[in-house]
Amino acid sequence: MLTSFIHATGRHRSAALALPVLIGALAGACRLPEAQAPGPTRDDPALLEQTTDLLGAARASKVWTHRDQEAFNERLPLLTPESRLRLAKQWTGLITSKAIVLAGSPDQAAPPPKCTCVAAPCGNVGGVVDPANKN
Amino acid sequence: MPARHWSLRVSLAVLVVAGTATMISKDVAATGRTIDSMVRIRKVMMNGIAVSFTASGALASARSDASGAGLEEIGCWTVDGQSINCLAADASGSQAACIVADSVTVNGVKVSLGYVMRLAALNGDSFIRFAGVADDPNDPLTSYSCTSLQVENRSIYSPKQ
Repeated sequence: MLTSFIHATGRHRSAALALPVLIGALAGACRLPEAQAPGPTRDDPALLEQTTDLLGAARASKVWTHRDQEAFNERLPLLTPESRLRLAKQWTGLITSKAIVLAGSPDQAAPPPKCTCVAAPCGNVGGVVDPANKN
Repeated sequence: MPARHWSLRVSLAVLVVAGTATMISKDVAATGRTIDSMVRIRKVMMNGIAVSFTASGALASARSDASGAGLEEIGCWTVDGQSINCLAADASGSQAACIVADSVTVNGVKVSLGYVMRLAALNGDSFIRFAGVADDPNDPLTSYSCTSLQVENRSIYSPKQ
């Protein structure tokens, strides 16, 4: 009887030890996605201005590039929920009304700068004849 | 951008009725079923202002069909886990975007609308459909609130090429 008591106690101890581990594992496996922090309670004026300007500049140029979208998405979470919602709402209006047009690619929106070199005759570089190309 | 962001199912019958299919995937063509997976935007206009819209399309088709002449794009994402943004652009140049908060407070209790959760079901071959409504139908630059979001992951939509 004593033996079985010890045996049972041992089993209970094992169960007692295993239970927290099991609970821990289940808790980890069943953890729900945590809601992200609501964001700051006050806006950084510079950041708010930058984000507002981003929309303003896009409206002026009538183009919304992938880069604009990235910058917008990066800045929004740093603003207060109120500012975030206001600016994001503004963005939906500009897009849907086509006040700003989605650019197909960053290159399409901002073409590479054209060459501003002044054409010079062959062998003449900046008014000086290059001896290597003087014919 | 962090892994953004979403399944409700729409019966095949609804899709067949709605679709005068212009793009038929190889898989679907073999079965004779037509599934329109191009990006489509339908706006309800009033006095030159879109008072509401619906946008739909498969992410894979939007990517495959994007050309230099016209941009097709569709997708939804979240930047804060508390709201979602949706955006669509079809081949004709029409565009639509909306935003919606993921939760509402009812009698002091915050209730999730499940938008962010639906984003978790979204993958590169998903078909999505969302709808938006103008917040102020009299304002030409009115903002738009999303009123629904459906995410479908079905074999009838061909994967990205």
